[in-house]
Amino acid sequence: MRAPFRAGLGLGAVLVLAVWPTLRWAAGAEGRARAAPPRIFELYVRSPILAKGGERVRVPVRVVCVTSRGTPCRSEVTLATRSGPSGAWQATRAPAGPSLEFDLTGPVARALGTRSSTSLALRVRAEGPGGRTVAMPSGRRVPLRFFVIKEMAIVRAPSILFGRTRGGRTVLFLPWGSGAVRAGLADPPEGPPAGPSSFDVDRAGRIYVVDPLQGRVVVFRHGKPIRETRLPLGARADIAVTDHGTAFVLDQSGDRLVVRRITAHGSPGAPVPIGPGLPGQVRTDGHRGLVDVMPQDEWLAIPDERGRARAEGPPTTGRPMRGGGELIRVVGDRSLRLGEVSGGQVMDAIDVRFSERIGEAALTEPDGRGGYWAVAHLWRWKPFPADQYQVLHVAPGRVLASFAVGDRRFVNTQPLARFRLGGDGALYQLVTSPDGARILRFDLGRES
Amino acid sequence: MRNVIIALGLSVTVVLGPLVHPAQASWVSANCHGTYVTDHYVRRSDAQAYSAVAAGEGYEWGGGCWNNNNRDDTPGQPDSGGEGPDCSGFTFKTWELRNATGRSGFTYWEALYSVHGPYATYDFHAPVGSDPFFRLPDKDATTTMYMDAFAKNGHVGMLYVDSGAPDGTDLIIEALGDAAGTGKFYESYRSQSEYVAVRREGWTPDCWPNCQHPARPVVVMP
Repeated sequence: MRAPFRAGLGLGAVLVLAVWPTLRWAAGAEGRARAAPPRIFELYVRSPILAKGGERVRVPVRVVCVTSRGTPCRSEVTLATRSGPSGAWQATRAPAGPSLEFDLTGPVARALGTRSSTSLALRVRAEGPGGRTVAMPSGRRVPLRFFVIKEMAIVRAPSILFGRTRGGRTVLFLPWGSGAVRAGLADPPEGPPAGPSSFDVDRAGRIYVVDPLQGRVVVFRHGKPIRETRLPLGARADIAVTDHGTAFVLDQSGDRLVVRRITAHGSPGAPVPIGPGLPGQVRTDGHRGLVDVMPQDEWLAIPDERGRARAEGPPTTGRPMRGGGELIRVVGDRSLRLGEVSGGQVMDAIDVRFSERIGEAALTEPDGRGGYWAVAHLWRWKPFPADQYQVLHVAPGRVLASFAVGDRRFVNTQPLARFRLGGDGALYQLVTSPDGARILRFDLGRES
Repeated sequence: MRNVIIALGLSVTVVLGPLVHPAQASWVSANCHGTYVTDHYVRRSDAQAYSAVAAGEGYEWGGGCWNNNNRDDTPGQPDSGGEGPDCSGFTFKTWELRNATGRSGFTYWEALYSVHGPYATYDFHAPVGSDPFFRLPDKDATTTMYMDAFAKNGHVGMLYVDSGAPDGTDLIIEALGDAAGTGKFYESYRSQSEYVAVRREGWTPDCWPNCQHPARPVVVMP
């Protein structure tokens, strides 16, 4: 009896010794995974922006969680929603996954009830290893907000055959190269060519071109340079000009956004920090500079150079418009929804339906009379791949004007910097070809 | 004998020393001493994590080595053995492709191992049957998944997250160029007709190794 006992004890000891390092490693790894915060922890939420009562409302949430060793890590997502400013928050928690979606159809239906329009607040928070959290919106800022409307006017965009495009009038041509009347070009063998990153047109028809490869913003009048401002520019710098000729240049510095103000006389200001985020676009409401911060798709008024916001107010879901209100837009597979938010209510909402798929909404602008100008990138796959832009002037219930323009693109201009509604009321397009960059002008007064 | 070796060494140094100019030592030759290993279970999330860490690095045509310090260590020095991948090299390393055309399976390449791989953008744009990646039948959002790529003859970038943006663009991770470097950018490649959608073969499911308890894809709020 004693001998077998000793043998068993010995065998057990051997087994423990053999397995111990593995157990210890496993326990250590688990402990480290719990303790070590991730190196990268990012949250991506696609807000519905503008939903219609009775339809399914889903919010995709993606979390990128990367350990210090460069491997993915697990996280949990909490999504909370609230109807009205004083309602109770309703929260749900789920493990993050590659196709996680929160279905808010129930809360949306209850919030809308018998009303014609309402909005819901949204907060999303992810928690990762080591107690690391990331939230959208971050900190204690006001929540994201999306809007629900009972009825939405549907208008069908006229179907325009691919290739039936209108040519604009060239108002500026800049051959590639170095110098005052040329535009810088970088054309790597494996990578898209880079050139002017953005442009805008003021009320006098002056064209502001961002030329990162020559480190300058140039103002042209009648095709001739009248002013040049030298400043360091990122390859994707965006620009918008106010009614008074002040230009705002949105740029990226690491994972943070900065804006530089250029006075009407061409003097550059110090970089103004906007905060963390990816650049969406920069626009103005005529007087203030406004930045669309991604991925949360929130609009912020650009603070002054001492860091104070010129206009009080929280970030907004829509783009603040001249004279008040916000412009909201959201792209679906074959639809573009537009609306104006005023006093917390959605007005003049339109669902523009297209016969082809839509890529980006390259331009959305209010027309000041309850309608909108929009430029949508249309594309198809069969019978052969094709794409072009459709310009639309829409009002609730009808299409006022529509025509197509080509998609001439040699350099990889960022998607939302290819069109501008100029301060003079005309539509402008930045196109590029192997010989240079052109600004085309389309008069908008004679389409029907 | 020892003195002979020392004398020989000194002679070589004296004769060849002036010929070796410090500027000729490229960033890659000075820094890229990583390694690689055969990999068996590679999920899209692994590829996404690998690419995420590379955001902020530089761009180098034909390059494939970077140090993940969130900045371009060789700015303004194109085509000089500098830091960063080009677009096809970045896709090659992120997808853990093998360094020989047509070979299936996975190889994990450390960021500091300098390799571009045998595929150019032309190959990603027009895959052949033996390639370990293939062209998708369309570019619909319901077809593409994160870490698929959009490729044209001249550029390739990977879909970083597949939820899209409200303005209709996609968040792409890509080695964009000397000025922009490697990073995440909102792009419209899905709607540009010259781009096709491409998928790497053989991903291990994201649920691995816990596929018996997969996460719920849709969470319904009551």
